[in-house]
Amino acid sequence: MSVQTVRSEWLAALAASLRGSRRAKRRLILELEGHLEDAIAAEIRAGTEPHAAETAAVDRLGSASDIAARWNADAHRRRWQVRGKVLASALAVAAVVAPVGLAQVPTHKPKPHTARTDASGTSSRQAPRASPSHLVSAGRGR
Amino acid sequence: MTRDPFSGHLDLLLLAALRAEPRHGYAVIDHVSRASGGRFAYQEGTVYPALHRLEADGLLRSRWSEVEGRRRRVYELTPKGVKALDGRRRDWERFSHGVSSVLEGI
Repeated sequence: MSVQTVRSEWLAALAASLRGSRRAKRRLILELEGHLEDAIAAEIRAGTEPHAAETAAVDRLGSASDIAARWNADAHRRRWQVRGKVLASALAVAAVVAPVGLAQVPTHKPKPHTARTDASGTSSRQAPRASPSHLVSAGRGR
Repeated sequence: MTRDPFSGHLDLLLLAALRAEPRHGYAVIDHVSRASGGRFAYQEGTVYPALHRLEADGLLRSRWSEVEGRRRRVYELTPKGVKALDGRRRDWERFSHGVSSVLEGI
C-alpha cells in the first residue's frame, strides 16, 4: 500500500459512509484533509519517516466508520430540528392568519327571501287589499 | 485510566479550547492534548463532527482562513457559546467538587 493510499483510502471510506448535505460533507472532508497534512507534518518534524508519519496520523484520527456514525447521528438530529422549526413556523403563521381569515367570513345569515310570488305573478306579501266598499258599507249598516 | 473520560466532556473541552482565541480543528486538538498533558486517549477524528454540531447549535461560528499558507476552517466562540461554556464550567466545578468531597470522606 502506498503512502498516498493510506490517506486517500481512509478519506474515501469516510466519504462513502457520510450522510447529509453535499456541502457539509465536502467541508468535513476538506477539514480532515487539512488535519492530516498538519498531523503528518508534525510527525515528520518529530523525526518520523514519512510513510510511518502518515500511517500514525491516520491511526490517530480513528475509525472512519466511527466518525461517520457520529456525523450521521448529528445529521439525522439536525434534519429533525429543521423539520421541527419549519412545522413551528407553519403553526405560528397559521395561528396569526386563521383568526384574520375567520373574521372576514360573513357571520350573519343572508335575509331569507320572503317575498313569494303566486301563479298570477303578484306578491302574496303585498299590503292587504282594502275591504270591498260594498262590504264596508254593509257592515256599517248593521 | 480504563474508561475514556474525554467523550463525555468533549463539548466542554472544545468550547474551553476556543475561549482564548479562534483555532482550526488540528490546533484545537493540539491545544487540548498539550493542556491536559496528553491524558486523554480518543479518536481525533471525532472532534470534527462535534465542532460542526456545536456550530449548528449556534455555540461556534467558522470561516475558511489562511493559516501558515494553508487553507483551514477556523472556529470561534459565539456570545451564546461563551455563555454555554460558563454554564457548563460551573456545572463541572459543582460535580467535581461533589465527587472530591465524597472521595475525601473515604
